[in-house]
Amino acid sequence: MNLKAIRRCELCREDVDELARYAYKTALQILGNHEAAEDAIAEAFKAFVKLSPFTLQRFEDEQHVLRFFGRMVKFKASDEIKRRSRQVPIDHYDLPEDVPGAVLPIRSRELRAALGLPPGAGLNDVIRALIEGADLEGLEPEVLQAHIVEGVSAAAFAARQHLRDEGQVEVIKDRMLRKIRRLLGLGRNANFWIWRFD
Amino acid sequence: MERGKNMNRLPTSDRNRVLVLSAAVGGGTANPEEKAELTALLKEYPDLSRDSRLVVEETKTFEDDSFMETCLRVLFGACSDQELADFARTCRQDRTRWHQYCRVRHFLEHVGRASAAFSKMPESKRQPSPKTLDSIWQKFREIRDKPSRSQRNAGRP
Repeated sequence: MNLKAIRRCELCREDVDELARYAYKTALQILGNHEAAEDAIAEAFKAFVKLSPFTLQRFEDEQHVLRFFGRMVKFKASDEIKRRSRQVPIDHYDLPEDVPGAVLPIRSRELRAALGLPPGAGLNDVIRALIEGADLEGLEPEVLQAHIVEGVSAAAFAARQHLRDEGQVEVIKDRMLRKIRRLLGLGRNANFWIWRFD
Repeated sequence: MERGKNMNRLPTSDRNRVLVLSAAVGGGTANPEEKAELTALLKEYPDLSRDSRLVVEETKTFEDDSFMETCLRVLFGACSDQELADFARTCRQDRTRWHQYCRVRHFLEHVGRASAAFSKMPESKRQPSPKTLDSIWQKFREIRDKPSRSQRNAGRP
């Protein structure tokens, strides 16, 4: 990879191929089909050629360029799903007028079926994708898994992780939920967040 | 200084009322009368507008985060029947919330399906084919060679 040329935004065929190969799996994992993955990579290149000289000059080495481009592709792929999710009509899923909670058709059993998972399967794949997509880090994935999904109380979680008190768990949870809201396009500063790479 | 003077002149009860009403607006629970009352109070004490706006935004963010947590708990089957019933009631009363839930669920279903499809793919299919790389290169060249708006405008009379 010719780093000097990349800093001048002059990418040759080999550089483009290397970046595309590096990011292709990520796009495919998020989007699930080859055409959409190809489009996401093309969109990322479109953004890449518009990067300011200041940003380009900050590339330290090849790995930095690859990671940077990989994140761009990830955000473009997430954008595509967000765009599709925004088009979901309000009556896409049924909210029955008067149904007891126990049989409301939004339980995890139905979600598993919708995801094509067997009834006994966990939602680990979905949770993993959420953790990856929202860039959850530190204790945030643990908070999602244990505190929200498994229902471990904030106090028990704080004790398990040797945190000072449950207030710290709340702080981590708030940050994590905001990241997820942004990932899903529900945050007010979603677009701003998308372009914060570092 | 002006702001401080006005704050001192404002009766505490009115100041508290502004905060309570702002929180209600941010939380989406204010009725039309309460919204009108807040507007009237802010007209009388314009120096409280900024504080009111902050309270509205903070409350809205808090409510959005709480609702997102509820959505995830509902979708992952991690909530009690009572929570589920409350969630259903909220969604029936506030269609915006229901739409948000639909979007979250659609997103999760999509990533779940995509992730499952990816895990079933053989390693060879996870790499871009030479045809795909050609296509990406062509698209890149088109993007790179496309004249910018300023360049296009420069050619106009």
